Amino acid sequence: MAENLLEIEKLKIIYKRREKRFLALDCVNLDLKEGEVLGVVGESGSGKSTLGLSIMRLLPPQARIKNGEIFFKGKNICKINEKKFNREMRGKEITYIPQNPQSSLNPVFKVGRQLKDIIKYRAQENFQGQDINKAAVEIMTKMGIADAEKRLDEYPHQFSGGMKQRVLLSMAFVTNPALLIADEPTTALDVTVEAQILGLLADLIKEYQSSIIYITHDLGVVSEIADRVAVFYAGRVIELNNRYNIFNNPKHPYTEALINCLPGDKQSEKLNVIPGEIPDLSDLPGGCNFHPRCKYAKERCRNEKPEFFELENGGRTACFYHEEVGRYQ
Amino acid sequence: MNKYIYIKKKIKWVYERMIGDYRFYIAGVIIFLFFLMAIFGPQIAPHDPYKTDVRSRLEAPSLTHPAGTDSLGRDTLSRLIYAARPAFYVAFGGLFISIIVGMILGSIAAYSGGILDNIIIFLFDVIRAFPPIILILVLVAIVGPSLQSLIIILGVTIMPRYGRVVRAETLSVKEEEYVSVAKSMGASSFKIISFHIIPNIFASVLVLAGMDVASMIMWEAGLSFLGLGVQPPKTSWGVMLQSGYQYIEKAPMMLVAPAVAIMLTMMGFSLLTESLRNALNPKSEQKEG
Repeated sequence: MAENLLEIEKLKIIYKRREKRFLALDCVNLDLKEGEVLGVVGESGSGKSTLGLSIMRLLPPQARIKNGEIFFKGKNICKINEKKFNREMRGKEITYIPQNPQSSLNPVFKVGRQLKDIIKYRAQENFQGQDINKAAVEIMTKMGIADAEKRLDEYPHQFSGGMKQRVLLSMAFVTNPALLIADEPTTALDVTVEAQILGLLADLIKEYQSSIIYITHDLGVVSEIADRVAVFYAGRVIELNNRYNIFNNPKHPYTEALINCLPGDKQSEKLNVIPGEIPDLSDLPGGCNFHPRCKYAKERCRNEKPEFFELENGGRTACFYHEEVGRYQ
Repeated sequence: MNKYIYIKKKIKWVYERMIGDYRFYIAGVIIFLFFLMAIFGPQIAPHDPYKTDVRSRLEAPSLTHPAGTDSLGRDTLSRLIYAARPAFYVAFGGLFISIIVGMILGSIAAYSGGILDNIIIFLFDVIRAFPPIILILVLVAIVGPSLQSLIIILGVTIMPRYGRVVRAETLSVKEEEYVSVAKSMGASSFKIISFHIIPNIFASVLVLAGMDVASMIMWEAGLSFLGLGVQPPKTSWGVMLQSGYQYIEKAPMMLVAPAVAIMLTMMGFSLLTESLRNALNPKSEQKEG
């Protein structure tokens, strides 16, 4: 087995606001191999974005890493000096694709200038002796931007949303990163553009061999792009498995409920919803976080926090009664 | 709509409304003359402003001396033209200093937050807490009166205005997504402030500066009149007023000429501000034009 590129161990992050404490991430264990795509799925407020930010070390000041460690290429990135991390890792080894391409480029400078800056300061060794301008045109053409030379000379507002996301993709891939964190990169785009960007991303993954953490709430997208899927609920990874098993053989009631929420084939059928709401992170229910909404919940779920159960098919789930999941299907 | 297109359209809209406003033209003519005098003063002045001629002192306006002469026989019009330059230096030099310092302090305060923010805000409040004239009197007493010290002192005194505007704007711009994306690409704080924040807030700073030009010119004249700014024999509108008021009966032009110059210049910049404000306000009536 290849050594893991990224290992997250027992990560616990707390947000403090006034006197309240919000448990954003609780005991998250994850690992990522080289060239692997990990889909991170969950509702809003389940801690997906916090996970991304903690790997980039860009957590807001009110967030605290309570405990746990993040290893990137065998090094504990929580312990690297901030300056060194900024120079050698952030934006170079670890890059980021934002959620909303519309507002992610500085409106007062030309796209070319912004892209060339990245090449100049972050990816010089990849283009040794090459003209920066040529390198910029090359990467933009690769991202499917036609007439790249001319478009470098344009301002962000002259680009459409999809085109902006392609520019941001070229900024993320030009440094040849080992790890790419994509935080809902296609949520703000319309469906046809989303499909194009996903197709492009799939090609790029093959070409650059980068590992990707793909954060989204869209199960459909995950089913297209991810090798493995981690399902988040209220700051915990409640199920982790490969794509096939997650979709065909979910072993956590929440995963199962999520999949049931996808629109079915029958048109007349009403959409399923999960009853209840995601719990308040400052006041989590005792025991299993999901028990108030779970149709399998028993007395034990109310009192005891489930640990991980290793599954036969290689995954993990955090449910006492995972063997029963699927019974109601 | 995209913010940038919005600003561009707004500028075009404001421009179209301004060219329909008579105040804009009056302001334009006056400001043009002021700049002409400030920049090409030595070339257009008919006489040497420092050349004394006791035989023709306190003369009334004539063809050789269109605005008469002063108590030492110097040509008033030439002195008036030469005096545009100190006014220009003080207005734009002082504004330049206050914009630069205010921008640096304001953006650092907003961007870093925490205790540094509190310290800088406290500094702004201390400067603003003094009545400006008292603060200026104290500072002049320390530094000594001259054109350079006047520029620096006025710059420092009005700097908090810019600092506060920049700080407020930075607080909103730093939450923009392109700033967090830049952070994720490893941009340093200096790069983020200089490349992402300052260029995006510069427009509002310029509007404020346009409104301050007139008051800076007034400050220069007032302080020079009190003997706290430009020192004679160097010429400035304030200095001319000061030497003119003793001869108000014998040679009224000595007093009237600089007073009119100050009034017209201030009116020019005020009209420009007025017409800009009118054009920026969507509710104001569209002038026929």
